[in-house]
Amino acid sequence: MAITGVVILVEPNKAEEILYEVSHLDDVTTYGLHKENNIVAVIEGENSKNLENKINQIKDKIDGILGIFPAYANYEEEIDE
Amino acid sequence: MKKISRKEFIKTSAAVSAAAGIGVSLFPGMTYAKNSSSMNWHKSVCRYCGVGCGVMVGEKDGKVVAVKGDELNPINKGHLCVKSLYLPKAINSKTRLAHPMIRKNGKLEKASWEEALDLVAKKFNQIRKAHGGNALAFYGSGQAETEETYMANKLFKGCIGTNNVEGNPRLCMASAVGGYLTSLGADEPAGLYEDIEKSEMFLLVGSNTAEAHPIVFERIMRHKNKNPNVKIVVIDPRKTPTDQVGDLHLFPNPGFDLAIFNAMAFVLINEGYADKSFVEKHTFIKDNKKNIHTFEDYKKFLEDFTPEKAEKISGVPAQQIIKAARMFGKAKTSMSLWTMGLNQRIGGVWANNLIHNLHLLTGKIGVPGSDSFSLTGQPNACGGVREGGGLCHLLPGHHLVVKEAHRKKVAKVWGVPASNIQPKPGKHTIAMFSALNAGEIKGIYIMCTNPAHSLPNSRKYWKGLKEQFVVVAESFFPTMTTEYADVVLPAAFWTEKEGVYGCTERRSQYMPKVVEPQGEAIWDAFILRDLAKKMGFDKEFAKYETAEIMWDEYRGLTAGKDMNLMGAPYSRLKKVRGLTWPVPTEDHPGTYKRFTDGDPIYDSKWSSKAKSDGRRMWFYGPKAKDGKATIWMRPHKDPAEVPSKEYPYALTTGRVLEHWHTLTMTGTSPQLNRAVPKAYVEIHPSDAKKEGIKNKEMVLVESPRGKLEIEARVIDRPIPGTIFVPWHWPESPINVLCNDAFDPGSKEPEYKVAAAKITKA
Repeated sequence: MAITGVVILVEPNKAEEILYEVSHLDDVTTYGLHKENNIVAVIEGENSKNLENKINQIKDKIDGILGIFPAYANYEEEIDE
Repeated sequence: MKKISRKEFIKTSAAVSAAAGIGVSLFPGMTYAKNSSSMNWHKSVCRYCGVGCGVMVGEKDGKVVAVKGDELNPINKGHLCVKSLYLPKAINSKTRLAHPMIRKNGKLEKASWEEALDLVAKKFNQIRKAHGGNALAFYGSGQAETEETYMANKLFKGCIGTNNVEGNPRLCMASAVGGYLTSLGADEPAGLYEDIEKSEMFLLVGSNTAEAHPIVFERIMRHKNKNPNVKIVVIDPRKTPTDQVGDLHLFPNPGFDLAIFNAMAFVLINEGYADKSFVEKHTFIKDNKKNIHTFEDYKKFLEDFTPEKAEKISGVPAQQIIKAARMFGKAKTSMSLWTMGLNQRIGGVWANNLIHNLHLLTGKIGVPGSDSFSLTGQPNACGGVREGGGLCHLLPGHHLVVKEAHRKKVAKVWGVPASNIQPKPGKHTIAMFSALNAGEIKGIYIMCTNPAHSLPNSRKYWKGLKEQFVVVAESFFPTMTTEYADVVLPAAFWTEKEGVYGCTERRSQYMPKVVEPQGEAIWDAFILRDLAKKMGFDKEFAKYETAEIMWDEYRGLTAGKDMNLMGAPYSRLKKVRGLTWPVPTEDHPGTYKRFTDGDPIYDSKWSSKAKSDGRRMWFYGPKAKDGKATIWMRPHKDPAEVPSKEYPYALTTGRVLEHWHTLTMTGTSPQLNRAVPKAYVEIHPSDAKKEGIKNKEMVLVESPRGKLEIEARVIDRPIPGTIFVPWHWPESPINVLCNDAFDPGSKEPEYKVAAAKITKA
């Protein structure tokens, strides 16, 4: 289990649209749009192998994302691998 | 209360942490997510770049299993960049070095600590006895803790008796040091990151801030989003993700931007944006021979750098230079930020001077929102090496080897005869590795850095590493440098040791030991201490039983200096999110703006004199005279190599977001590796067409120093005539092709410009 909490900073005029798109992605849970253009989201992976790819995919595929800033990462079941 | 699963709990914690970073409480009144974890959380500092982000380290059952941004840290306010998320992976990486190794019959073999340190002590003493102290050298790192560099300094400068002590910050920010000293009279910025949210205009020069310093970029981006009138000018020969917030991008030919800064000064004066009163009261205007000139002389000098003339030199249209200058001039407050694109040049110090000129000329310094602010590449280059004295001309606490009083003061604290410290600077980095090649230096101790990969024109210096006695203290194995090591010593890594990091903004922050070192690894400072004892300096090193003892001794040397840290003992640093020097007493909050009101040194010594002279600043640093800064009349200077018929392209290098330096840490993460798995060369589509090169085709990049076969990425990021290669991968070490010519003042090499050609492989 790998989990990261992120803030997705988006262009204000596209914020609602991007929130909708992000909230429909697999393994992504959104926690609302805040302060006009900040989407709080949690991205999950079975292990950490695909977390980074997912972040990059979100950034590359959805227009209007200015940046994705992680704030928390947990790998507690994976460290022993 | 509804029971939640472990997974739900972690998800909620992750969401709460992310939201807290933007000042949002997701679940008001709900505290379990933050406080009831089975994990132990420890306040620390990120191990990567020089921004100095606060991280909370999550430890469970003796292992680091999580990190999160420290919401209370004023630098990153809970946010992190993607690299830091993988720090737990680096700690627990399979590439961690678990035991000492000694080369026997050409192969590195497992050894005991006793055996390894005995061998190093014996060899170093033999070399010292036969050839003198100057036949030995130490090469350290801006990633080492201040306490670690302090131990190395004492052993080599104070006991062995050589000033051949250098560190990799020579390769990344020595020109910034030279710029600050010659322009403002003292090293390190006058302001802090908090100027970002107070600034109306940003000048980003030679800095891919978005990828190299993402949290600084995030702050700029948020500020601009809130305040659309904020203007951002980017000066860089390459399009980067930083452009997404730029209002104007100037693309100079690599190494030809000095004329732009002079042309901006020309426009600022001629269009009435100069603050002549500030200039008159706070600055000298000097030429390269240090002759003092009038403002009229300066105006005349700048006539050689009209925007039209600068266009011819730099390739940037005159109208864009004028527009950039107007944006700088019109804004009430302006902040310049730069990094290696400016520093890693043979004209690096001059380029730094010319940025400072813009601020001094307009009085945009010493007030909230205005500063000339150099970004640094490593987490403790400022704290450990610049402040800690880890270069060949320095002693700890901004003391100099050339000053007898400084040598005596430091020697007394170290408990060694003052005559042990040599009065002349030792060899700077390029000279040091050249001396290793020549056999003049016969033994070197390399700590926490990978010079076989990171030196410019690196192949040239592999000879000395191969032929002389090389000791490498490192957390990871193998590296390109351990390939040449006679002895490799396993060093404790981040979270396995305590100590202090000092970041870009003069902020010193404490990092705790959270877990035990992996394998047989030992803290670098203790390795050096134990080596010193084995070399016969038992008395001099007997007292260093804890990191705090080392820090306190070092802190004592900063008393009364411009970088006074007397108010920053461990007991206080453990509680606060760092302190920005000068911080002279334990009740002082730390300093926001230097050289003006609120700076304790200015307030106590210079304020009344400044005010009686009608000044609002007093530049009191060791290189300033009469409290004045210097506006320099620096002419244009070509790079050491300009594109030619044989080598028609300018090769420039840099980082990508996912990786850091020589991959010893980020290379341990499969995720980061997969994101950017191998080296590539960016080439503009028009150049690719000219050379008949297709995207993803293998090409040969060649400079006068060598060639490299890598994949082409045809993209309009570099300007035509320029090619770009990231420098991280050991299997494709682009630094082999880089130029080792260096700035005559800072001795920083010109990584950023080399003449090259590119052909189909």
